[in-house]
Amino acid sequence: MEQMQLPLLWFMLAAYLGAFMFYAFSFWARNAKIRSLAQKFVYVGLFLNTAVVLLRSVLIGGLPLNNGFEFGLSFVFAAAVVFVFIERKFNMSAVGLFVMPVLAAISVWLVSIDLSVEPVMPALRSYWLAVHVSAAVIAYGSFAVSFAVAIAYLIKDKKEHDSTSRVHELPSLKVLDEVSYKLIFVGLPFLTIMLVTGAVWAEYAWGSFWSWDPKETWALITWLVYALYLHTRFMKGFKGKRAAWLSVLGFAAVIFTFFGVSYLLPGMHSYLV
Amino acid sequence: MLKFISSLKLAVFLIAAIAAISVLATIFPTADAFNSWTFRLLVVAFFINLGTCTIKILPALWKQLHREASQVPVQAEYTAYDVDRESLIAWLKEQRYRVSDVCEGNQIKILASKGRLGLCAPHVLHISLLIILIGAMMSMSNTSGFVMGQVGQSRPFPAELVGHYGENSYIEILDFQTVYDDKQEVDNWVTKFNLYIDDTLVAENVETKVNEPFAFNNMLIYQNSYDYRHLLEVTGSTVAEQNSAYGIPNNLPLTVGADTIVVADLSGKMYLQVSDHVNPARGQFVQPGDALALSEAGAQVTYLGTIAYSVLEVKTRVGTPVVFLGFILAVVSSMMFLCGRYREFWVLCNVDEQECHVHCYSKNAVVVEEMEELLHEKWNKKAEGQ
Repeated sequence: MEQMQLPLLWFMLAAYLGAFMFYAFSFWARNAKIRSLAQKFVYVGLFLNTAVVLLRSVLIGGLPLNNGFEFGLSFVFAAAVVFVFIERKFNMSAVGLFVMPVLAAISVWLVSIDLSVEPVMPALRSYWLAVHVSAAVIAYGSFAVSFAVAIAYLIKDKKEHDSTSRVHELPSLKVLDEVSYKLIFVGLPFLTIMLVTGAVWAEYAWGSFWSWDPKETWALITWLVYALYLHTRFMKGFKGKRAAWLSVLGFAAVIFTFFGVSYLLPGMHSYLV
Repeated sequence: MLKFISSLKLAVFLIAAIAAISVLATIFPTADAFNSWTFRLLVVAFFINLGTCTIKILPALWKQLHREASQVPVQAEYTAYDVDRESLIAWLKEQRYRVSDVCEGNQIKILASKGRLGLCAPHVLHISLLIILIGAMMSMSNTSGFVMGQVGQSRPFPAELVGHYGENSYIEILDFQTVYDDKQEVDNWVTKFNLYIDDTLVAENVETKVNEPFAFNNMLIYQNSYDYRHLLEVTGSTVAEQNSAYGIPNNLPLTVGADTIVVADLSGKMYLQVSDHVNPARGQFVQPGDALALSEAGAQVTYLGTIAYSVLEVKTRVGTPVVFLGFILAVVSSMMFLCGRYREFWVLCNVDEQECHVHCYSKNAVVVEEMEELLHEKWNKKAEGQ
């Protein structure tokens, strides 16, 4: 069964890439039928993503949250679910053009790393792991889609006055701004839960609730950026372009926390890759 | 001055500065920026900023939470709807609004509010951060140290903790086990021990393992590491301690007089070797009880077997419960955020009129729009003449 993971992942990647290409084509051709085809590719990708998550769960006998591959897999899954949800709720299918590259990029990383099932080290055999990493998956999934929506906002904002531009296929700036904000509003509490449960777990496992480990520090930096986003929005009315840039900055911190720290700044979370 | 100390501007600056230093500290870890005075000052300044801001906001929050229908302002933009007061109140209650009303002369004022948890969430989060920071400051006085010993040994507390628990505090290591799961993979490492504080046995045959430290009052004992030692006994030597066993790590030398003794684990078989500066090195595979002569006349070393060697970390935990209290509040506030944003309907109506004048209030324009849409869907606007 372990060998089935890679082919399924390749098909999942192909589906997300296919969705991206059809979204791009529908955007260029302003064709709703092609966009509907792109949506179907998203559903196929999500179906395959779910299949890999379930397969991995069976292989390891638990939730796939123990290492970098499993986290990445769940991260893509969460982002895809969040996208499908907002696509249906806010009728913003065109945003798929910006979400799919994120999903495809992480999927490319997933097919390129070691997928073998390794024994879980004793420090990771804790109920805290499930809560800590699940919260991170939900938060990161929301932030990924918020980032894509913010990019859509910035592009639309730039070309808004060009009546011939295809950006008019995108939802209104107001909707894009509001959805990007709502996703951060939902994601930040989960990021808080991730930080808190991680700290409690660290106290039990390592004897210190905070060690300024690079992963911890960058998770805190990410939290600070998104906290800044909400504060400036609530208190100073930061909306639109400035809020979108903060969302982009926040997701850059997310990506660095996940990839950058794992590869460039080894610490106590080094078992992730 | 107070305005500046509690300002968002200062908060943004401090958050940005703390984030910037944190970024640099992870890139240049040798600088130890987190222990620098600059960083500590920023954190203290952030604490003061957050504290004053929270204290300043609390009275207004209290007022908002205890607003009454009589406080519904008359001077606001109201829209007339074709609905009687009872129907509107019933509908608001159906929408899970907390409704209160008051009759002032010929006019009835209605206040309907929802999302109190969401309103309090940021303030609870601020308080939780303050508590976490207080706990973190308290926990700076925590000390920790290591107790290392073989099974059967009693080892004193580390010097760092003697001040807390006295000189006659020690741990008697009773057993160490590697625990395996059904797939024969390592599940955990467990040390059993007796704990003595000031020569008094306070915990008997207790255990500590990874992820489950042993707690005693303000002390935690962690399973930090382990090893296996080769147990040797030297007899007949004038330089070795009499009747004492040596526990030596694999492949590391033990010097007894002119002799250097090494035990190597070669694929599960133990090889004991003795060397000195005069004779060629001599050695043999050994079983427990086998002995090898030393260079000193009548002296010999006996291999007794391997024994587990456990490393325990002993730590005080002053401030940690306070931090954990802050953590619980932070999680609670996070959940409160998800309970929806605060909103109010202000309603004015005359006793003898079959219409209500409604104003939708929220700090968020989108929420106001949502409320207005909800109203329009349910009730007809008078202004549109429907």
